Amino acid sequence: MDTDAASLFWFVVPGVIIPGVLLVLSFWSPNRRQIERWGVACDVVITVENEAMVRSRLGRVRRFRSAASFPFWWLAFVRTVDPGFPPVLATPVIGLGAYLIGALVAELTGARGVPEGVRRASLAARLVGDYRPRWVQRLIVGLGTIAAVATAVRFRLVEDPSGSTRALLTSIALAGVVVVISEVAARRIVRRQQRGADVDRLAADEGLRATAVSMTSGASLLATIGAAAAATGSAVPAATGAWALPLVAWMVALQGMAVGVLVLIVRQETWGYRRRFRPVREVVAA
Amino acid sequence: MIVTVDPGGPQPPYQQIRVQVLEAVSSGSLPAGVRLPTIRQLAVDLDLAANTVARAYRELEADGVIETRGRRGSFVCEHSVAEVGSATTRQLDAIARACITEARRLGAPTGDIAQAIARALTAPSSS
Repeated sequence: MDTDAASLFWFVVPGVIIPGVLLVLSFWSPNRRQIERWGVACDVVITVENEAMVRSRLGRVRRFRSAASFPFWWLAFVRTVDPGFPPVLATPVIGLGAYLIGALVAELTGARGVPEGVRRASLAARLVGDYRPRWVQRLIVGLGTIAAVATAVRFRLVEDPSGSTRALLTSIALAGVVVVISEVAARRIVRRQQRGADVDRLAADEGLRATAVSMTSGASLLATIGAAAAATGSAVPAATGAWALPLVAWMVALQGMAVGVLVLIVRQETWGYRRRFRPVREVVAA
Repeated sequence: MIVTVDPGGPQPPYQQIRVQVLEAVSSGSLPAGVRLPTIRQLAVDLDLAANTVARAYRELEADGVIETRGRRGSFVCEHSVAEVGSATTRQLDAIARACITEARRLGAPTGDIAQAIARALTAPSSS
């Protein structure tokens, strides 16, 4: 295989075929096994009444997030092949942002079912706190506080903070914007119309709502993890070298946390939520 | 607790909501202190105008069944079960007055109206 053929191979396989296959796969609705896995993760019994609703909602979110992020992932690959490509659009962070924005758009839009005839609704109040455990909220606030304190320390200790000041402030500001948008989106998701009024569909609706709120709080966590990592990474070297080992451990912990959050978002699972509807019927003929 | 509204029913939607909340409170399905959905949430879920749900909540508040605690939302009142009895009585009185007014409009004498009501009470239920 000569050089040109090898270049073509390394362009076509990872740059075209693999992303193409991933894109096609992402447009398929979740299969039975995936829906049951979601049901186990969210403690929702999948029945003949709610299966179609769950498949439709999970599939819609997958399609939107894949379609929104695919071009940016591909551009990130193109940048590795062509270093002259403008870097602004070709970073994985942009791809991740587009992925989350796509998921958010899917959660916040979509035709509302206009009920025909008799309409039913639960008289249970819905609050964001029902769908997001308190520890998640505390973690977001804690990481944000660490980022703010580390930024302040950095500006106090470093004599010439001009080096990466702009990047640091940008990441802090970006995290703030993401947290605000996520919070607003979570409230809108909690308020969105209930789908279905029998107990099976209500249980699935609660699970889907918790999945969506978990996605928005996951986005907040990713943003605050990024800000905390950037701020502590820039502040600690300004202190003594004795901080090197704790800093490495801290960064590894943040990266582990970020991977965990990403896995939860990709698998469409929840942090846990307050369940009010429990189907009494057992599953379901396959 | 599921609330049901039939927009084509004989009672206006706000009244249907009100009656079902009254029934739920009196039966104990909605115990004292329970937080009710916000007006906006219930209106969205039932696909009704917010004013419709707001009217139902206002009347329930006037009945002494629920109370609004500022921005925290609406809650079932303490001791509301006893209040529901009197609220139901007031509602029955209103229905009876409306029925008698309609009968008088037809020119029926009081005796005939009373007999018609008695017949309706003893007749087998159609539902």
